[in-house]
Amino acid sequence: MKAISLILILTSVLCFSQNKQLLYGFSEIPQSLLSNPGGKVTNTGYFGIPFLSHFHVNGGSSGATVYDLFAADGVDFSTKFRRVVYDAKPGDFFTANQQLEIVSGGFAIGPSYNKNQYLSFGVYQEFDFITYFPKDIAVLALEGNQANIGRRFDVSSVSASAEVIAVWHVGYNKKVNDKFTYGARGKIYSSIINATSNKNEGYFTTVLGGNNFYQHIFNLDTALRTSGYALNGEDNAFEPKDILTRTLLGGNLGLGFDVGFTYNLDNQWTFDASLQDVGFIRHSKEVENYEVKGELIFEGVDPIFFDTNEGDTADEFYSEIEDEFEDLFDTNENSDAYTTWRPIKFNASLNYAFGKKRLKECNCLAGEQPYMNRVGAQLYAIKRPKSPQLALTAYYYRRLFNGLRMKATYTLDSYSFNNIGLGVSAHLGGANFYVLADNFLQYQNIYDAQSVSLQLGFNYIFNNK
Amino acid sequence: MEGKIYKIYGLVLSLAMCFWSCTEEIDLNQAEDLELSPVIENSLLFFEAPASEFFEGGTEVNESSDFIEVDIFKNSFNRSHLIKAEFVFEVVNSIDRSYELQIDFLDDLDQLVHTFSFEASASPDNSEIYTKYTEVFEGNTLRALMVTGKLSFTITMQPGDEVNENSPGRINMQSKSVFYFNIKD
Repeated sequence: MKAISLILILTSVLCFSQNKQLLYGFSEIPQSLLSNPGGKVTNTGYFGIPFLSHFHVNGGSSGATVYDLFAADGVDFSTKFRRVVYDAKPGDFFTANQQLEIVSGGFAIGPSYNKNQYLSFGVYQEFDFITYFPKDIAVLALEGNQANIGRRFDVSSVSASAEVIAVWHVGYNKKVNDKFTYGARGKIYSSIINATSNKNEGYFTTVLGGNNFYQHIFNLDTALRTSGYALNGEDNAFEPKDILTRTLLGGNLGLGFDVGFTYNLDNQWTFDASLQDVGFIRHSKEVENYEVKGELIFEGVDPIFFDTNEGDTADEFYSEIEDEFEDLFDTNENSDAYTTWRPIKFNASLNYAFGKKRLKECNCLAGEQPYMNRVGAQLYAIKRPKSPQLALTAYYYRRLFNGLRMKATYTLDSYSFNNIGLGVSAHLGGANFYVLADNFLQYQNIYDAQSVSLQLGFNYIFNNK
Repeated sequence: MEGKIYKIYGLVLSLAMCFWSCTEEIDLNQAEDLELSPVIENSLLFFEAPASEFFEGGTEVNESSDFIEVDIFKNSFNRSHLIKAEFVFEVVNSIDRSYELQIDFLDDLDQLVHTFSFEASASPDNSEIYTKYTEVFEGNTLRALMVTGKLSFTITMQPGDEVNENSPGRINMQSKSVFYFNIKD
């Protein structure tokens, strides 16, 4: 019982997104090397069908769903909006992630009698978006400050980032012996567009005042950093053709790597783990940053009827306050270069394979044949601006016959506790098609799904035989 | 063997089709119906003066006035979304004289568009006498508020026993504005 509540707390505090629980460890799909460069390699070479080899889309909300807000149920929208705002927990977030592989390929290298090394490479485009739900700001907009005297409206509840990047990568994988395989992948990131606002601090509050009804306290330190868009620059404003040049390494560049390994404990037990996207992007081109910074305490205007000696009029006094407000909310712009870190992802799994095919000829187990089933547990974590997000997956994998592999997953995450996923990889000769989707239970009303993800692609694979 | 595979294929396919077809209706245009009704309170004017402030150079100062130029009332956000406003005053007087406080609202051409006044009672025994006054802006008066560019305030000491530099008591005024918004598309 204790353990269950611990898991519940863990998964609701630490949330998940961008998980590829179906692809991870699915070694018949060449793209699984992208989530673990030290994964098992089951082919001697492959190439992805350009633009079709890997498409991934994932969207999720740890709080409200589309259906909560937009259901055509006759309930007043403002009522639903209020409900969503009040039900939101601090730290609730919305994410969207999409990847499109442009080209990819791989081939085994090494002496012809023992090709135990593998090079893989490719270019893919990625869109990544995350925003935390700015509950404090939403409540302020809903209610105003009248009902919230003494409450601090925290600006740090505003945290969002969005980016489109192209990733060029080369990976190396080596099967050291029957037990151990490791790999690493180097990446060059070329940022097409970036907008980041995740270091906001400060608050606004109205407290009971001394000289007047209230003191209004503004304490703001917020920043929005952008690159690649050039909102104000007319000469270098974003144009569609920039997508191509920046995909071809003409954007703001960064470096990163993935590492991973697989260790066979014995014939049936396997442990593997990987780190992805340990890297950064340096934004120095087409940078526009906006900052709002300052502190102000306001408690009204003293007409100073009587202080004639000082020669101040109320209007002068008020003009000073107006200037201070202007200074506070005046947006400072600059084009200082900045660095963003890629969201690091961690994957690990423990797997148990069992059940060999029973051969008809001798009514005995096929010793040389691979196991037909596999079960395992996977852990996934991703570093996000506020806190890491975790997901725990249990899976069952099955070889249906020579050409078909299936994987079913059950994932615990903060989106839901009933995320069931299903993936199929079909191999017909060299042709490979795979489609992986999760949250099957929620497809009965997809708008009410906390998260959905879909991956699919076509490859041509060269096998050993 | 192959029959089994087809069965599984069929099962997966029909499940998927069922799931997809059951999605319930949503209406994204509802977002246009969103209405927010925040209420914003702001500190406005305040002052505090001992009785002696109304005595200067050997004579009583019965009237004093000042003004501020403001542009917060006439901004376009208010014009589109402000549905009601209130100015709330609280005066604590322990001076044995009553006071009239008057606020004039002037537009950019210095034309008077609105005015109101209220009286804070005298305190013969110098105890603290509370006076609360609320001016409500709706309809025409709200429209007048939204063209106001200058606020002028006048305090007038009403006739009574003379005050001098030794007269006891003080007058304190606090005020706030309450803005009721209705924000919609």
